[in-house]
Amino acid sequence: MTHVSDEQILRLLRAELAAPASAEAPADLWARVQHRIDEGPQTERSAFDWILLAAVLVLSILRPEGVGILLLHF
Amino acid sequence: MTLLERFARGDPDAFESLFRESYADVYGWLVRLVRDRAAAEDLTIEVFWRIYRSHARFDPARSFGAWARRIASNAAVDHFRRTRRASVVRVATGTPSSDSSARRDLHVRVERAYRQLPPKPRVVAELALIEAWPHEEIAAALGISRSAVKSRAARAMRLLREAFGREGIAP
Repeated sequence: MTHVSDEQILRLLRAELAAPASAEAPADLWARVQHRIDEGPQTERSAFDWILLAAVLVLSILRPEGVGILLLHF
Repeated sequence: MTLLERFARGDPDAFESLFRESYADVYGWLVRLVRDRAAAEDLTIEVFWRIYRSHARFDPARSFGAWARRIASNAAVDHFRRTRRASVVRVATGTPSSDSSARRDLHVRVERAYRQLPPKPRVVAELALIEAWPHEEIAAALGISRSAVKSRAARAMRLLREAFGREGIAP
């Protein structure tokens, strides 16, 4: 593994990844914002959500008596 | 009633006025953070959706621009979370055949090392390490404490040191 000092890292970062030049914003974004508002919330399910759901289903099968406790949370 | 007060009360015309006043700044901020104009455009839409949705939480006595910038920074962090794995640039293996390919190879390796940073340290790294902003200004822009900026910058540097080593980057 090559050792690079902090100063060398900063120098390389600034040389290779210079800040992007200032960009002119596109002109037609308002219509897209309105469209986005009309769409409403977009819920994305993460892997954690699916794992949690699977765990609840498995527990419900193995321990059906626990379903009542889960329902108290709704 | 001021424009900001009208916005906080949910006035759609006030929201449109604020959008037209500030969307270029938000877009510019996002281009700076995500380094991708197309992604910054999509994120600008998302940021103004979040702003619209959160109008009731906005304090009209405070700066709308600073609030929008914080929301945009959070949107950039979410973007990095979604794209972190997909955005790793592939580097051709083997010995570079010329100075220009060696130069290109170095650029790709540095970029790949940088893109491996976790989302929150990456946003701080952009401002603190690449653009050399003072920590106080970063803290204000991101809505976090100076100590959080310091700790994320230090973490970014440690991870970059490791990533540069793994990539075999030598100055």
